[in-house]
Amino acid sequence: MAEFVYALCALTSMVCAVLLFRGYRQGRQRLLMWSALCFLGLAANNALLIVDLYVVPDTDLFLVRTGSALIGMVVLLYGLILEAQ
Amino acid sequence: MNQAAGLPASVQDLLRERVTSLEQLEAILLLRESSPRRFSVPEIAVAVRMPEALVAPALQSLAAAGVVTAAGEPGSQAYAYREGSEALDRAIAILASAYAESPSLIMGLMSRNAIERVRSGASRAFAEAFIFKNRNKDG
Amino acid sequence: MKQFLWGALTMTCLVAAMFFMRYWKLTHERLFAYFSIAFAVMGLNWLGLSIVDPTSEHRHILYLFRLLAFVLIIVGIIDKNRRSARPPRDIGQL
Repeated sequence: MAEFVYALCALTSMVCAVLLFRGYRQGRQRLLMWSALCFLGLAANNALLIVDLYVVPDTDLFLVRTGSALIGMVVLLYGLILEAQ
Repeated sequence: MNQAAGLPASVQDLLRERVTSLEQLEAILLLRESSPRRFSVPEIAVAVRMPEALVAPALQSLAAAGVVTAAGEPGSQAYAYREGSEALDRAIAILASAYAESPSLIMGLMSRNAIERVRSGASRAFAEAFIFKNRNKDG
Repeated sequence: MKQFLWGALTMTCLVAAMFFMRYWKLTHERLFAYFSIAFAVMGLNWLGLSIVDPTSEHRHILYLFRLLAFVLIIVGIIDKNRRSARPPRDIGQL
């Protein structure tokens, strides 16, 4: 059950990232680029969780997967703060 | 936004979303007064004393916003006030009398909305990025 | 290190939620409300992990927070698309 949830989260994040990248290419609004990168990080976080669970159960990917989520969130905040007027 | 406190929310929404420029305001007031008569773009431009180059896109926006109806070939369309919505009509009536009474108040509101729209440009782009079907809207 | 990362994630999610709430108030765009709540719930996910500190993070019931957060995002996107497809009719339906 958990793995389906993580897969759904990863998929949703990827969709958000793709939509935001497309929007950025159209309008060149930097906020969209930063947001897209954030969702990429969240997608990586969820996807790596599945990898950690099934592909490499003997290796602990905690730092990589949690780190990617944190990097994504920091990038998002960077974009949101820069955008604030 | 304190000066807007006298205007009902429906009118403020109207100014925020559908009647966003002076050309649009003058055009809709003209069409409403003469409803159900249909006007062409040159006729409206003469009546409101504004250049066609401004009036034409203003009417397209009003049509897209569902406030006027368009008929005819693209390039030579005629516009009329859209009847049928009481709420809309009431709001425009209030707007019309407010504009007659204090045009500077309305124009001030419209420019403040315009500034707000520019400031929130990035967030609007963010929200619109999530629309799957790609429609190229102005701005 | 775990606690630090979870704590940082909780904070960044909550701050993001607050930014989205501000955008919602400024633009009246409902999508931002969905994103705001979604990121707040995501923050709860990280907060929960740091409180419980499960030995096996993957199977813990906390994943339901993640599910809720992303379901909210999906619902928000669907809602946005449906609203954009409808031509505006009455006042207040934008």
